[in-house]
Amino acid sequence: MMTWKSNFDETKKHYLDWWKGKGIVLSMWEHLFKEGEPYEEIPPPPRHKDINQFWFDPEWRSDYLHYRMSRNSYMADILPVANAQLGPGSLASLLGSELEGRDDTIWIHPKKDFDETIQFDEDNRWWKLHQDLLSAVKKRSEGKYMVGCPDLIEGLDVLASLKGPDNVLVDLILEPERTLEQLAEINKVYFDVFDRIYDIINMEGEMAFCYFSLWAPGKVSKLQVDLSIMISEEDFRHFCLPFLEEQTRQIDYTLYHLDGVDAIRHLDAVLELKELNGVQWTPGYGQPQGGNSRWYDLYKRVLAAGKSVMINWVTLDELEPLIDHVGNQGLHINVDFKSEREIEKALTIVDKYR
Amino acid sequence: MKLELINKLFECVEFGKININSPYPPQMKGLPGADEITQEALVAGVNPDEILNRALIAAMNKVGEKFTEKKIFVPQMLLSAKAMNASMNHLKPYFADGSVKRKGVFIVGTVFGDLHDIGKNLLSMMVEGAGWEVIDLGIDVNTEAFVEKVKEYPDAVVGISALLTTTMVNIEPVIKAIKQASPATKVIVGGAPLTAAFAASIGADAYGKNPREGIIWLDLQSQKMNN
Repeated sequence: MMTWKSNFDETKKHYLDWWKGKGIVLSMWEHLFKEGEPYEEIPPPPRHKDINQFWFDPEWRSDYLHYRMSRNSYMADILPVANAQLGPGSLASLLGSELEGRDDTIWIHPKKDFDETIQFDEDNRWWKLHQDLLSAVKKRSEGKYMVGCPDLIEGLDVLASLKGPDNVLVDLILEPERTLEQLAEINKVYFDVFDRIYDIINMEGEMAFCYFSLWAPGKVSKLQVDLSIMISEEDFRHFCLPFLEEQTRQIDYTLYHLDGVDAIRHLDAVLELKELNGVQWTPGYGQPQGGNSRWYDLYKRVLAAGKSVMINWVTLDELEPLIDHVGNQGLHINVDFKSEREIEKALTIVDKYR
Repeated sequence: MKLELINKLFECVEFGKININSPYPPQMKGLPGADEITQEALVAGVNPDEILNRALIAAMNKVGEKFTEKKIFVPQMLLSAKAMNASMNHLKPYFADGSVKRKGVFIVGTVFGDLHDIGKNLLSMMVEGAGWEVIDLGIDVNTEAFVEKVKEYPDAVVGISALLTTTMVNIEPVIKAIKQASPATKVIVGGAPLTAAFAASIGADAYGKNPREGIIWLDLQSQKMNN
């Protein structure tokens, strides 16, 4: 396939190594505009009529993404992936939650009159939108870029989107058996939906995720339990780990998104997931970001457990000290690039360690 | 007898025993919970003020300490709050007739643009458990709703929360509007992305890193107001 990323073969090699705990991937969270001419002269779509068209109109959004993708930089290991996400945790919408588009994100409202039943309705309008949007973006791409898998999310986080986090947390204590059954059902729906999305978006078997700059030569996903910051280690092992383990077994390549200082207490449990390939660390607002020396030991801990590590929002100044201290094997570094010139500088540094 | 009931109620709230039917905690299964013991205490003539201060507030204070020390987590704290609410329902007539006084009125809401509610809900429950009347405006609360409520309750303290970096900036115009409408009104802010420095920069009177910190500051305001 001939994408707009001229060095994709080299990047794929970096990713293949990284999934095995080797080498360095150098990328960024999403994209920045390239300098000079676009890959093709794609006209921008007319301005969106309203916020619903911006997020939920497959034709308009695929035109918009096509225009943006024609102007993004894919230097270093930045991926040619169109972000067709429908909100953080859009799996909940397939189970009855409602999506609401706003300027900066899509919100997911709890299901009204939730009767504790986890049921995937094939005729659900949001499921139709997922399929229509991904198909439209795939068609529009004509193989020039990949389509990222929406941020479906799973487990406790999706249950929280359906019935509200307070109710989920209380039910961990008052209704533990029912909660475990619901989580098992959510996983079933997740795999069903995930596989069907994979069928739409995969490119010769390869797959990419909408965020986190993730590519793999097979099925790939980011896993998470953001609600874990509110529960004990014991509850994490009981209510989260078995379902995460199932995901790591069924999906070829998996990365766990560890979010927030209060989630670190669950890291030992996460690292016990044998089939998990990597861990991504998000320190959270108010904390030093990924490239800060405060997190070096955390990265070493992940690497020592045989997992790869993804480090986000690293600044150019932090790049060299980070690799010096953490090593040059198994690192996926997302730098907070502001220009292609900065990418060139970062490449000069990283190439010394490759 | 009265002391025994107060101690039992304290224990129910500390460990989250809501009522006799509640299966939690396992060691108290089948025993009366906060709901039944409060009724029993009132019938036995325990002063409602004592129920509030020596059982509910004292127990929630201990719950807050355990939470801060990470001895318990949010699910356990939520159950304690539910137990406290079960008890508090029986005290409402005494609040209404003035025989039991609260520390003050706390107006709380998640700022407009933000639909997160867990942090705000936790704070509300803990503040109520600390003896305040809580007016919860909900999520995605616009400036006008905060100002309107402040005008209705001029002596109230206001709490505003945000959970996103993209929405925490919405707090500043709300504080400005509140201060314009009622310059003496104190505002405390909180939420995962906020810091004390950010709170100061947007004109907040205080920053609550966690519910316990928030309550300590609120109680100071109450003391100042009542002195």
